[in-house]
Amino acid sequence: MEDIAKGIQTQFKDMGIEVPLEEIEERLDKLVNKFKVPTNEARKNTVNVLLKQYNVDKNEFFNQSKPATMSNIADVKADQWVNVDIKVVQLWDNSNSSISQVGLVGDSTGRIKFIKWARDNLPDVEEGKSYRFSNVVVNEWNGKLELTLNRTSSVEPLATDIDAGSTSAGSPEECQVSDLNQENMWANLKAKVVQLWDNSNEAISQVGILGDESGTIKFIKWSRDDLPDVEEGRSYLFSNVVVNEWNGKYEVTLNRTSSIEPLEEDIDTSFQPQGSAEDCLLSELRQENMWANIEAKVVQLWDNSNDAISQVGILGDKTGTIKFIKWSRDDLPDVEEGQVYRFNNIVVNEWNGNYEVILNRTTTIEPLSEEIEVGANSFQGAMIDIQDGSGLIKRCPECNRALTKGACMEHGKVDGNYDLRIKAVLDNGETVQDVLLNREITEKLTGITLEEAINLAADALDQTVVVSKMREDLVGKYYCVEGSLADRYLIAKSIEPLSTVDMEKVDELIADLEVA
Amino acid sequence: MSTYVREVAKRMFAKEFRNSDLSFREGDDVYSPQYLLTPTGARVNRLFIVGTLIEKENIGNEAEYWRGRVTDPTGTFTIYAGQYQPEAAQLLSECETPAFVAVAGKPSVYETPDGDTITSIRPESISIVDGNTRDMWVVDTAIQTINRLHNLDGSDSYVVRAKEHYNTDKGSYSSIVLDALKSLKEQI
Repeated sequence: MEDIAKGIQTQFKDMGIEVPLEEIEERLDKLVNKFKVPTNEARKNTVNVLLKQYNVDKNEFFNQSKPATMSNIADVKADQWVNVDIKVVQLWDNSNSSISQVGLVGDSTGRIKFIKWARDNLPDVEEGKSYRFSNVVVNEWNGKLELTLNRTSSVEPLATDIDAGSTSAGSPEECQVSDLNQENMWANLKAKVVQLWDNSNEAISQVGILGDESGTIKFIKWSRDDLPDVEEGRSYLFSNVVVNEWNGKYEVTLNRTSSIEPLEEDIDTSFQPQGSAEDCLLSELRQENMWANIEAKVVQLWDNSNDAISQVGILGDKTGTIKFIKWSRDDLPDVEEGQVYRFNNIVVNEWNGNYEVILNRTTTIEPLSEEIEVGANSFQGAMIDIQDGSGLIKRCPECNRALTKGACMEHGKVDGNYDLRIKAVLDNGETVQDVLLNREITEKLTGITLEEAINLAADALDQTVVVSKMREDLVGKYYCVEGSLADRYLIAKSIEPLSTVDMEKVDELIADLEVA
Repeated sequence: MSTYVREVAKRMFAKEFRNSDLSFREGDDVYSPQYLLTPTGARVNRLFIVGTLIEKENIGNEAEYWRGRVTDPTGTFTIYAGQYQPEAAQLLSECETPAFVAVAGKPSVYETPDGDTITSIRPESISIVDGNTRDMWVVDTAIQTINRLHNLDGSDSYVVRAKEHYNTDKGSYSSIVLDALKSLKEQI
């Protein structure tokens, strides 16, 4: 922090302006420590504030750029302007039209990614040839440095060949599926293609599951690598494959140097995803890969834009609710909202601490005539809106309907009774839930009683000051609501503001990402 | 569709939003909703962000037109509020900076004459919140981004389109998420 502050001070000193260090540090400290602003943004903002305060022209300030210097790849640092002599080691596939070329360049000291933008109209480079890149910027992207060519850069072919080191990878060993437990490990593998998955991604040629007697693993074959296709149920020797890790799970990636040879022998895949299904309540579905039979009501069907998914929504029984997914490939009959069904042979999946019911090829769906009372529902999310018709309202003394502009839809102009309520929109990023809070819960949540609300409105001569104040206090924050579903509304029995971060969850997420 | 369905407010970090430039309409009449497709395959008609408002400026001439910059652990969101966002414009004109704010709004994409695209948010609502809410949003957004990354190998047509357009590097987005989560641990 002190270094950044001193850096800013020096920059201003170069312009002939003396800024006290404490002033810079105070602003930085407030932004970074109190307001959680990332250091680089805090630095920019502090500079901007000072520029304004001392009336300095932005362009003049930022144009004190330094000339580019000749550098080795190993020595480049973020934000530097450099000239480098390099060889193009690899050009990558690129479908982004704003990027002209992207890949890997290297010299004898190391390798670095480079990007050339379409807008800059620079000449193309070729794999294996050597060039001098002049006036390029070193950027940092996710902790890795990269060279970005820009309008002022130049690309000149070199007559001499730049040594960019050897490209050898580790020599692969014969492995079993259970041995593939290390990122970037190269291997040869004898395995059977257990499953091929539907795949509409043109970049992927085939994707599915490989297995041997030690276990199963996902594999991906890319279109660009032009490898022969494999068949479900056949065994192959896969040579020179790489292991990737994603979300704590390993997968096998085939590449340009891989080979696929069919085997005569049949690889034994003795593991079986089996389990006998028992009748369960929804609250008992708390174990990944568990098989079960359930009787439940379809509480909600969600909009679904994913072709691979046939239906997705919420099932409920007396113990609560759970998300379910029905895949298109499994060709199961459609279910209807509000109807009760018996589902035999479903699988439980866990995702981010939530359990979900996955229907599969072996699942059966039978409509039942009985009715099921769905247990308490809860919803967690951010309140992103409070709708009109919230706050202080008037109700018809005859039918208790909320009045619009002093009139009841049924009974016309009446002298209504005051009430408090909130129609809130909660949103968890995946679904929207309308929530209705009655007077008692509204009073508790807002700390404003009906009497106080009436007084507020009377003082302002405006009934809408109440809802405005509620919006100000409540919107934008996270809540957990429990209640019962009626139509599109969740009628709240309780609402709790959520205001502490679950640090254990954060640690868990960090650990998951770090192994990947 | 028989009933009006409110669009979900998607969560994404500033860096992903900034890297997004593929917008399209679903359907062909003028009332069809407009979407922004992000590198991890989020189809965005509305988004919800919580961050620090570090700068605000009235850049309008006669009518007020406010520009605000809101930072999260990965970068900056730009928000614009004018006469059609009166409540948001009023809050921007009255509030102090820095301040924690929650914003729900519509994504908007602008192409500069140079061919660069600039994304910004037109707020529907904006409110002052506390630091804890901001941290909860970081966790929320991390989880939603991880979910999208997890689905990136799937065959959803939007995901496929996103990957074709952006050549999405899963690793770089998971490290964006990782850095954002780690920043929560560095706080006092």
